[in-house]
Amino acid sequence: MADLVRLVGTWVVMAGVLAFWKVMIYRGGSLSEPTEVPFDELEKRYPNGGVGVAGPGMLAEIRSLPMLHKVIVRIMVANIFVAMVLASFTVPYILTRWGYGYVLK
Amino acid sequence: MTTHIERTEAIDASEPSPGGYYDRFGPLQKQADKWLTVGIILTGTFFVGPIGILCLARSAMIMRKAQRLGQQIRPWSITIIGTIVLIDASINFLGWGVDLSPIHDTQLGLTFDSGWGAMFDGAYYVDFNGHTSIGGSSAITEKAFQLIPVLIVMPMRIVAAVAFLQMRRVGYDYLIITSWMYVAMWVGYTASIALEFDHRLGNTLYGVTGWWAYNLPFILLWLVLPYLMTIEKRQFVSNGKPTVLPPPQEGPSR
Repeated sequence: MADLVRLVGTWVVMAGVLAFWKVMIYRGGSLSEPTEVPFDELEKRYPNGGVGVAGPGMLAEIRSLPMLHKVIVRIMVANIFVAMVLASFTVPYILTRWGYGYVLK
Repeated sequence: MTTHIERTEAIDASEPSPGGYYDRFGPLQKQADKWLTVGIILTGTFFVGPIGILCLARSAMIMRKAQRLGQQIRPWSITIIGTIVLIDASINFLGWGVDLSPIHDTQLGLTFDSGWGAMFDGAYYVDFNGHTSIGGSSAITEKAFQLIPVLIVMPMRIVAAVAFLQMRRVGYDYLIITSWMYVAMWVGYTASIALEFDHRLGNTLYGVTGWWAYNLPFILLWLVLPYLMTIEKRQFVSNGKPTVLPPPQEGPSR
């Protein structure tokens, strides 16, 4: 009985993983395909073939993005600062804490 | 009225541009990108990171100036996404590369790896250079995982991000491909460090919390994927000229 539960349980989980990726590929893939949108709207949203327009500035541009993009881009801005801080001060921190050489060996 | 635009209609619709991809932008964009590239490389080295910050700030100032002068520049969101991907890929490429290569025997490598290991990953200082056949980290799984980012994922991602910043189609496509690779790599890496918990996380100053605090900004880069899959891909072209959108079609709406 225990073996049966393990077998069935495992296959149910694996079927779930398969279903997850089916949804991801079918739905996620379709998101990246061109969709039917009003042409005027396309031109308004992507003037000059999508190259940024002069004027509004970084913050204004981020504010004007769709919600999903706005959230992701803001997280990435924070990430840039955090990554820069981590990358910039890891070595100075190591040097000031343990000095130059083979530490804690 | 709506119109259906095929993928192939929006790209390759014009002749290759002799000036390359920067013909799409104003003259200051190329200058800003030089500072951006230098800043990212310096930041990615870990060792001269503070200088990199200054270069990145200079790049942002030039782009801001270009916008004020009325010049066309790359969308800021593209710049931000491309920049964080490049910084992250450079950091991982060089950081793991130091441990995978004989640099781990140098005083510079020993200082960096052992110091980092003392804080976040015990395999980088307990029995460092003394357990595996190729030296460096004493975790066997870590050595195996280093081959994936150093030889495949991170160099691919650096090239893809540079092409993405130039708004080439190939950069966009490969950024999606390498983002999925990145997700797979982090799942495996996180599992491997957890499986050797006592040796790796148990032997650190900051433990599990420290590891997550340090690595979360890098792991969060999977969020680039939903962004990439929902932006207008026709912004990215193959021949350096602005995307040519076809005129509205006559006839009934579809």
